[in-house]
Amino acid sequence: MRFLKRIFVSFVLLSTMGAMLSAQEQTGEAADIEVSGVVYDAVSGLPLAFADITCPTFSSDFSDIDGAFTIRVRSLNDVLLVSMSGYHTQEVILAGRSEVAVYLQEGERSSFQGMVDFGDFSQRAAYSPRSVSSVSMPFVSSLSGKESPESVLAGAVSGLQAPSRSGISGVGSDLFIHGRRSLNTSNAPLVIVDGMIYDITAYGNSMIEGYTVNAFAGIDVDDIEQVTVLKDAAAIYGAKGANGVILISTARARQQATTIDFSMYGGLNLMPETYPLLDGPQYKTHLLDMLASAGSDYSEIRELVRESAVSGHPEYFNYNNNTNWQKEVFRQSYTSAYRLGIKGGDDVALYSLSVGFLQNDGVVEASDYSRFNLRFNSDIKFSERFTLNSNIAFSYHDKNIGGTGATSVDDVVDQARRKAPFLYPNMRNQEGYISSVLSDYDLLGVSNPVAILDNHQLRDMNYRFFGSFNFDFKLNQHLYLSNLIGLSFDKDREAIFLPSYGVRPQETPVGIITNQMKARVARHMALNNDLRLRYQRRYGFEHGLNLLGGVRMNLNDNEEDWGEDFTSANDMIRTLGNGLAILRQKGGYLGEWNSLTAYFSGDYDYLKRYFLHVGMSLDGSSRFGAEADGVKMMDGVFGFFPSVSAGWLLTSEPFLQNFQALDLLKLRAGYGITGNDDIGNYSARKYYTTQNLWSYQGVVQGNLYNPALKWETNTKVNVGLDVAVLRERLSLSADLYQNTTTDMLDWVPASEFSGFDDVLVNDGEVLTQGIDLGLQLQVLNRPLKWDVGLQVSTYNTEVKHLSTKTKETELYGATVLTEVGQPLGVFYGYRTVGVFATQAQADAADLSTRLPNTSLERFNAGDVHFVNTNPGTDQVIDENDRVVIGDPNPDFFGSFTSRMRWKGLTLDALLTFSVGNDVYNYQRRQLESMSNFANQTTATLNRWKYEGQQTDIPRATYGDVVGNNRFSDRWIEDGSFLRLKNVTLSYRLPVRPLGVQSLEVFAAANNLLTLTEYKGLDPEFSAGGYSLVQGIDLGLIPQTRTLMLGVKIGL
Amino acid sequence: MKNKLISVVSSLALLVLLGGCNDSWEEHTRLSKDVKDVTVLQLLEGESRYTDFVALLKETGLHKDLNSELLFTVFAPSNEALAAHGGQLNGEEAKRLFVAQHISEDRILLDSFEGERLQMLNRKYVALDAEAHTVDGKALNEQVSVVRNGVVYGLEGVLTPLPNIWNYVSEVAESSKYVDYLNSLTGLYFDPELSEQVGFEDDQIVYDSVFVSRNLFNMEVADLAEEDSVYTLFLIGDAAFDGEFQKFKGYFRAYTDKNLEPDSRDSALIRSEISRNYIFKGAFAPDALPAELFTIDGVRVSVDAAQITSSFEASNGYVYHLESCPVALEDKIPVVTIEAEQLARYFGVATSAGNDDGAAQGYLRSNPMASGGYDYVLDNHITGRKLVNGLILSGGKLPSVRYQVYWRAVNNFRTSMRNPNDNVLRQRLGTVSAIQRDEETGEPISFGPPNTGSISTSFYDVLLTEYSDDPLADETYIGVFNNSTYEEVFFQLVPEGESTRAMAATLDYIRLVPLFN
Repeated sequence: MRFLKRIFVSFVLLSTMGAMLSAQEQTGEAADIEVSGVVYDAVSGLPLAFADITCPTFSSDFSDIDGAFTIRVRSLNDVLLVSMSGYHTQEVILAGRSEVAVYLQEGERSSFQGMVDFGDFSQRAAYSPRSVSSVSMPFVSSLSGKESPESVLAGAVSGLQAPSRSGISGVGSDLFIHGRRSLNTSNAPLVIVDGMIYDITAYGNSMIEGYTVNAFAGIDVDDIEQVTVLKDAAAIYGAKGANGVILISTARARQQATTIDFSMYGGLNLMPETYPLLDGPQYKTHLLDMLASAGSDYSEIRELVRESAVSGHPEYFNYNNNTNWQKEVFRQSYTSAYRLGIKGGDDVALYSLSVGFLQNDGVVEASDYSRFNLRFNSDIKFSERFTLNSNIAFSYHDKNIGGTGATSVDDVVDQARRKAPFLYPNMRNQEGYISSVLSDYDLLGVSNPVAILDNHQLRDMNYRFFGSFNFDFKLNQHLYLSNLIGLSFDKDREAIFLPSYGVRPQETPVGIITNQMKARVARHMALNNDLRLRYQRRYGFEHGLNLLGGVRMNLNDNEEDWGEDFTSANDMIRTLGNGLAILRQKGGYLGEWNSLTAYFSGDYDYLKRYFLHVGMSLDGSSRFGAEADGVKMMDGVFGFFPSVSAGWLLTSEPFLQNFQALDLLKLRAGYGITGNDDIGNYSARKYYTTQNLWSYQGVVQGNLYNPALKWETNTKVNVGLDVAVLRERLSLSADLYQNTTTDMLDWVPASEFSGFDDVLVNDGEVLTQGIDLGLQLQVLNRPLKWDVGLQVSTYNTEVKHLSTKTKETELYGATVLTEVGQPLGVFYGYRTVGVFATQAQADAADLSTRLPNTSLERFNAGDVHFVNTNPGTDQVIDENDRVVIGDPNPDFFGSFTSRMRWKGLTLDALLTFSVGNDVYNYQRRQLESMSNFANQTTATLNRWKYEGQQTDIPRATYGDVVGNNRFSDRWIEDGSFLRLKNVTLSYRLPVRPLGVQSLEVFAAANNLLTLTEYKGLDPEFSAGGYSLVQGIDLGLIPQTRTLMLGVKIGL
Repeated sequence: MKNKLISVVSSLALLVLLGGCNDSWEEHTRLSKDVKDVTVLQLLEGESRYTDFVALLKETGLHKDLNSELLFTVFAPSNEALAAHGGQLNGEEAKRLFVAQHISEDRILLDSFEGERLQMLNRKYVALDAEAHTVDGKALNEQVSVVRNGVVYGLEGVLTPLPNIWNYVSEVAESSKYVDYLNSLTGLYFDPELSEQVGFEDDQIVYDSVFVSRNLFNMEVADLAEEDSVYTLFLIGDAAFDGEFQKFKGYFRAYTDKNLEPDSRDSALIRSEISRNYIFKGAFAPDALPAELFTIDGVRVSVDAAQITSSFEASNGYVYHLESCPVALEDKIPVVTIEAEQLARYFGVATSAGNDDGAAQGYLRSNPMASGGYDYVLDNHITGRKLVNGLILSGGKLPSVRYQVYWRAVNNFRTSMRNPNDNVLRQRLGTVSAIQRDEETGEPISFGPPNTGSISTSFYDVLLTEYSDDPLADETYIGVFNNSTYEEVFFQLVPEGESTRAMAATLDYIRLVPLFN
């Protein structure tokens, strides 16, 4: 931290001195100077005729047939702007040169000459002193079949992770920029769409286990024009910017000519991979072994299983099948999408309209996802000084989810993994005839997934309106006043019915749950107003100034209501209110939070060599406590968030002009403070909740409030380097960063007199340090053009301070440790060294475990050999023997993109990878623990059975008395993977039949190939946005492999 | 350039193909070399020393089981052992019985085996000593194979199935009065489980009836054909059998006067009682036969080893032939104590308001001085009327004998718990007969009026106010009860009380002392 600060301060001082020195050099130069040069195509090296060359506000010229031009400039430190259709407009900094060779970059490739959209203004990438990634859509050709835009971002931005939540259609990804930095608050970045906050968190908790409502699904990937990811301290976003900021701008019309684009594709979702489970006969043998160890309570089932194996038994045909239950719940399915985009207008109004429809039948039976989205963006010029930009978007989706894979008696995927394969989905009679009637739950207490699929409903309907009007007044040539007012309205409804037939009844202390009816509505409304004043001016060619000040107001209203009812008279009665009153539950919450932010951002450059960015904001939120530490004004508490970045573009220096091969060399550094306001709407205020005690209603204090509660403070320091060489055939961006989260929210034990267990305070500290590397290389440039890109990132986290020093969190049978000196989210459990093959080995180790009744039980042959980490203390394997057994943070991760073009053919590929991250394979633990009657993987065929058997799978014992399956390194795996996320082959037809402007056909595939040693269905997953759940694979359904064929027509 | 494109595309395609195989799972689930992935039958077939046993398996059809997914443990005799055993296997059933004696269900691993007996496929048990590695005394050799569907142990010798006690009685034992009596109880009985339901008429299930041969002794006393329990059976000589008959014939009469010669029904009853005197739970080997045994009914029987003429070891116990083994009258017809706390429910009187016996208040009182720790008070009156006809207690099935009757009762609550007054608590004891019984359970539902002349017609004062250390000293002699038939007897304790006098009844126990002729 100190080291980085020192580097930063030296850098700022050095560049300031340099600026002053060179300023002195240039005084007194004559204004009437001519510069000559030649414009070339960067790839072919051939001269380009009729390129437009201007010296802004001074002179202009065209290149001649040989690409040559001569132009008058004010100084040899002036800047030329060279533009030509199909190429990136290039700024040529003369830096003392009177003769220049200009190599224009093809517009289709990314370039440092490209513009980065910062919302209210754009800046050429070469000039930005900030740590920022900008992506122009499409990243790689079509990227078809992406239902949600965030999932493709990770492929283009270094330092950004976007693990998919699961394979449910449209369920989306969680987003993390520069890893994780907070224990109890969200790690999700702030998303701004067309200048307005796009909330991605206020959706409540889905009642469908294993499912998450995806906020991003409302944005059609094809509607996005550019995405800018701010990874450094974006101070103007105040207490919302700690996790980075993603700015999304949607498509607008740029020209008056009307264009109509129609695209469609149809695809096939391949059946997902399944776990290699025991088949019917194998499972029956396994079950008999388990039943024998389960004791006499199960002797009836044991007898039934044995007797029914004899032909002629009334249940013979019911109990002697070989059903692959996983195949009963998974399927191949179809997906299709259609989009129509119309752009055009006249000199007064420009508009862009797009309409899209998508239908994706998921890979789980009875699931489907349909989405309709509409976007209308317009730019109306009322006068030369007054314009209006409107952005109106509406999306609606309707999802039926067959099953998610979450552990539950009513989840079809989970039950299919457990269910005995010797059973059959339908009832069979004594002669073997198959009835159309499905079987009920079975003798082992496992539901019939097929019966559930026949009669259940897991439906999520969501719509979002997101619209804004931005009024823009041009006060004078340099000064603009703008006001954006917008509304976001989102409603999410869930309707759930789970039948009694086919589902194992669940016993509760107050009654038995047979069928289940649930409904939930979550509503979020946000009103935004953003008033800005912008001043943009270039003083001569030397000084550039871009100032922005504004006041942003964000008012939010959030409500969730839910009800659940159980055990109605029969499965035909499936609405709330018809269940047993004693089991009925209802609940919900109301949430309101508002924020008011005054902000300022200033960018200054001198001679386009030295760049300085200053940002600051005063951010007040209704969430902050009245006694919080901050600027107190307007009856509230405001946080002050400053940031500063500086850049030095060395290639603008005269002394580097002799290095022809060097196109760009830039050093940059930044320092800033941001905050995280995800501290709960009312954690800092006292509130009351109702309570029912023996039928008496009352009101009790609902929380132990902390009026001093404030945002988490996030201090970001970064230094970076941007290089481009060989006419930008090779370019590289490197960033070294450090994020320090202080005032981190933490639950600490409360006074025992308070009546509460713990209280939320600003206490902990977490440090994140990392490196991002982005590399672009044009391997071949003619006639086959092959561009590759590599984004690699690495980071590490360390808990620096925690008031409790150490904290253990139990999640899905795992223990996650938070301890000073350790990374965030490490797994804490037992180490193992195989299985005792012989009793002699077990006796030699002489280890025991303590049973719940406190007696000691010896580990014998066939048991797991746990490492006794405190042999001097005892020979008992207990919680004192636990150590850190895994770190879910990857060593490095990133993506690789490839684009090959040859005539009309384009082949794009996007690969993502992650190396060195440990995964807790929860699902494999369920399928290899051999402690109940659930079906298991075929690995359990190797289970220990006799004295001397060498194996790493312990003996099967019902109930697992000695705890062979406790949370240990047996369940921790290396989650490294390399995935071909998308590959697309497209062909632009040379013919234009029926008057179409362009015609392109493409074939694409998603998630076609995954190379991994990980023994789960999908190494890429996300159990949620919080730090402690990372790396926990719940075994939700894997991402689908989809093959698509499509066409794009331009009219 | 085209070639380059083709090569890139084809290498990508190759990657896709390679991606089809998931190496990590394959490696993880690959069967280890230590796992014998064969069935028990396949293993036996693969070993030359078991060819004869495999041939026997195939003859009996048991080989199919051993090739299935069901679990089995086999103690496999080698060809030599089978040859040494000789050809005693006559008939299919005997062969099957023999082969099945070597096969047990489930995967039995000696290390985790708990217990001493192991049931084999023919339902007979063998003695498995996991520590000594022996089965029925035959050693298990080192050849142990744990395979897919079970375990195979190499056996030194063979396991011979023994007949069970019933096999012995019905097929082997020589005819005698006792043996003939036991065999005479065999007959055809209706089996509702095997019978098919064909209809429903007048609230009754109509069956396509199946009758099976069963023995009443096995059904009601002790199932000597069942392998799951072990018994010891004494078979006494004809003279002794007749002697016992003469001894008990006066006491187990249900149909004829006990002073007359028993008719055939009473004779059967008396023989049944005699036969119950010689069946004991547990397998008592000749060298472990105690001098005193207790029958299933709890009757003490003295064993005179000198009387034993022969013994037989069965698969489920032992059979002994004795010349004589007399059972004392006092042991067969003991003193009976009827505890008040056994009362399960009240029996009410019909009133205009219906059968409201529930309104009576009964108090089960904990008292360490009381017999059984409890005594009972029935608070029987509300204003103006009594609620139930006193306490009715079952005395169980009592032999036809005269009993002296005592009660032990203590009054420490004046006359009524609810309406105490200073009258003297008085009650009397008689017997009643059940006049209606529940069709399904056979439990009595209502009773008739007190049997005339039973025990006592006069009320006795209950003057005792606390229990002493000597229960006998607390007792009150009530009279003599002459039980004429061998059946269940119900005693009724009636409080004295009219409509205007609330009075309770109380009791610790009733004691019946038999008076032998």
